[in-house]
Amino acid sequence: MTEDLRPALQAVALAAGYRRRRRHPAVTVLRDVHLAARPGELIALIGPNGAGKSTLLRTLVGAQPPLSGHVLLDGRDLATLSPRQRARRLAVTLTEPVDVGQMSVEAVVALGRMPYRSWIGRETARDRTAVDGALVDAGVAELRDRPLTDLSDGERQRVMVARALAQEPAVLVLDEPTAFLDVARRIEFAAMLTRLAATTGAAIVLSTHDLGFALRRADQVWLVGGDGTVTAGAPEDLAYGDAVTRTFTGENMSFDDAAATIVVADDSEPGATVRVIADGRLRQWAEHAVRRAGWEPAADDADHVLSIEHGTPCHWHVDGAHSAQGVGFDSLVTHLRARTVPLPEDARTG
Amino acid sequence: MSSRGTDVEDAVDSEVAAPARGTGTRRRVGYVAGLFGLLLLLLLGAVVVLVAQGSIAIPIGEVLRVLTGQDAQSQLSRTIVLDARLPKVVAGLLAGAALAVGGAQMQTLFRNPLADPFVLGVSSGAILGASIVILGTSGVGWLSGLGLVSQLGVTGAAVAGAAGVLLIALGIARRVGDPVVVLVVGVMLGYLAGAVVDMLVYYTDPDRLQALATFTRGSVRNVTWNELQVIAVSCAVVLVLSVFLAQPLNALLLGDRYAGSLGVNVRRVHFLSLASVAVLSGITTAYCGAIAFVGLAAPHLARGLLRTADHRVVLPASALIGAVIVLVAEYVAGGNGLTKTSLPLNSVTAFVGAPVILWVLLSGRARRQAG
Repeated sequence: MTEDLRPALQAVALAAGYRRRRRHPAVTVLRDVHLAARPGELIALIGPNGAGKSTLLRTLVGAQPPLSGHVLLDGRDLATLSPRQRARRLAVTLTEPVDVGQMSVEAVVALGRMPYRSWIGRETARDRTAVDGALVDAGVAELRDRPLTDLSDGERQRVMVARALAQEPAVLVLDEPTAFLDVARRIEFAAMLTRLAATTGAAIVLSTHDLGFALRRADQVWLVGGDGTVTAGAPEDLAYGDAVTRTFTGENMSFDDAAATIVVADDSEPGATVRVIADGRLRQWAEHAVRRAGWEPAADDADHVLSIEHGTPCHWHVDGAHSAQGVGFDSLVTHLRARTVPLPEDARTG
Repeated sequence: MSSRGTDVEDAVDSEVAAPARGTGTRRRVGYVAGLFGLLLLLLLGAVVVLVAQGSIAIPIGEVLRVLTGQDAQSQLSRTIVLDARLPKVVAGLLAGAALAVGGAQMQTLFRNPLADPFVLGVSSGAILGASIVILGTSGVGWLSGLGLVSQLGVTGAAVAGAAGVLLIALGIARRVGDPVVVLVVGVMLGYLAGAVVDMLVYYTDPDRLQALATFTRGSVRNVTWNELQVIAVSCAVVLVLSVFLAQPLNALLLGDRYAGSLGVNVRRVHFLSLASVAVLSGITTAYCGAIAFVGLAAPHLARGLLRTADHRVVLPASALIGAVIVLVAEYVAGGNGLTKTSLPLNSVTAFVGAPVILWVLLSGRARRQAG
C-alpha cells in the first residue's frame, strides 16, 4: 500500500469520554488522539481494562459523539453523515450475543444490505452478489441455509463478520472478536482477517486482549495507555520501544520479546544454572521446564548438566551436585524445585 | 450440507464457492406462497361458516350468495347476514389481525417471546384509559351512543392507556432483561390497572356505571357498522404502517446496537412500533374487549410455519393466523349446538394461547433469549 492512500478512518485531535448524566460535566477518558487507518490495513487496538478501549471504539464508530476533535470516515466528518450513509462505509461486530430466533445464516447476512435498501426492502441483483460474496469471504457459504441458533460460537462470529462484509464497508470494526473462541478458532479467525484486509481493501480495526496476536498479525497497533493517551505505530516500534512494556507490565511482570507477550517476572534469587544437552524442540521445552522450576539454563560453565533423550515421556539425567535421573518433565521439575528455595505461590502462577 | 460445516472451519485460507441458490430458493418461495394461499382460504372459510352460524340457520350456499352480492333467496337472510352477523365477523377478523401484528411487534421490541398486548397488561391499560373518560363524562350510552366526539375521546383514551402501560413495561424490560420477570411485571401491571378500574367503579355515581359495564363487557358480538368504520380505518392505517416497519424490525432482532450500526434510527423505530401497538391493541380493546393470547400465539405459529423470523412475511402471516384464530374461537364459543348460550371468547382463545406460553417456557426459549 502506498503512503498517499487517503485514510479510510481517521481521528483528528480527538477527545473521547462520556457523560454520566445529561448536563453533567463530561469525563474525558482519552485526549489528543491522532489515528489513521489506511485501506487494507489490519489494526489491533490494545490496552489494559478500563483504559478506554471501548470508549475509543464507540467514538470511532459514531455510537457516541467525540468530546472534541473529529472522526473522519473516507475523509468526511462522521458527525455529518446520516446513519445510512455511515452504515454504507462502516460496519461493526459487537461482543453482545445475538439471538435472532429462527433465522438462517443467509437471512442474517442479508441484513447487512439494509443500508442500501428501500423501505420495502426489495432485494436487487447487487444485494444478492454482495451477500454471496460476503458468505464466501467469511467462509460460511456452506452454512447459508442453517439456522443461526445451531451454530458454534466460532461459526456465529464468522456469520456476523459476513453480515458486516455485506455492508461493503471501507472500515470494519470488530469489538473483541476472538474473546470467546478457543485457540484453534482464534488462529483461523486471525488468518481470515488478514486475508480479508488484503482482498476487500477495507481497513480492519479490532480490539483484543491478545497481545501476542496484536504484535504478530497487525499492520498497526493502537495502544491505549492507562494515562489517557493513545499511541499508534508498527507493532515492532511499540514493542521495541517501551510503550508496550510501560502500559502492560506491573509488578512481577516483564515483556518477553521472544514470545511477544507479557510474562511473570522471576524476581527470586537466581537459581542454580544448568546446561541442557538436547536439540530442536526438545531443547526448547527442556529449557522451559528448567525455567519453570526456577533454574537458569546456561552455556558451558554451568553447575549442572541436564541431558535428555527423545521419547514421550522423555528420559532425563542430571549430573552435578544434585545428580538424579527420571522419566518425564513432571518429575524433572519436581526434582529441580526440591533443590531451590521455594517461590512465593503467586509468583509461580503463569 | 450440515456435514460440511466442520470442513469450512478446517479450510482456513481456502475460498469455498457459494452454493447456487436455484431450486432451494424457488421451492421456499413456493412454500411461502402456498402457505399464504392456504391461510387465506382458511380465513374465507371461517368467515362463511361463522356467518352461517346463529339462532336462525342460514345455509352456506345462501351465505355465499349474499356475500358475493348475488340475489339472495330471502330478504331476511340478507338482512341477518349483512346487518347482524357480518359486523361481528369483520370485527373479529380485524381484531385478530391487529392483535397478532401488535404481538409480533412487541415480541421483537421487548426481545421477549412471551410479549403480547393481553399478557403484558396493555389491554388492561386500554380499559383503564377508557374507563377514566367514560366515568368522567356524563354519557350513559354505549360508545356509538356517545356521539362521534366522545366516541373518539374514549377510543383515544384507550389508546393512551395502552401506550402508558407499554411505555412502563418497555422501560422495565430494558432494565430487567429476563423475559419471565417481565412477564410477571406485565401481569402485575394488568392487575394494577384492573384494580384502579375497580376503585373508580366503587367511587362512581351508579348512573354512570351502566356505560362502563357495557364497555367492559364489550365483545366482537355487539360491534356495529358505525363502530366498525373506526376500527377498520385505524387498523388498516396502522397495519400498512407495519409493513414499512418490517425491515427495521428485522434489524432490531440483532439488538439495538447492531440495528443502529446498520443505519436504522432505533429510537424512531421504537416509537413508531410502540405507537402502532398502542393503536392496534387500544382500538381492539375499546370496541371488542380484551381478547387474550391471540397476540401471543399467532406470531409463534407464523414463525413456526414459515420457519423464519423475517417480519416481511411474519407480520402478514401473523395477521392472517390471528384473524383465523379469533373467528374459529368465536365459532366454537358461539355455541355450535354444543351449548345453548355462548362462551366468553377468551375461554376459547386460552386453549390456543396457554399451550403456546407453556411451550415457550418449557422449551427454554424464554431464558435463552435473556442470556
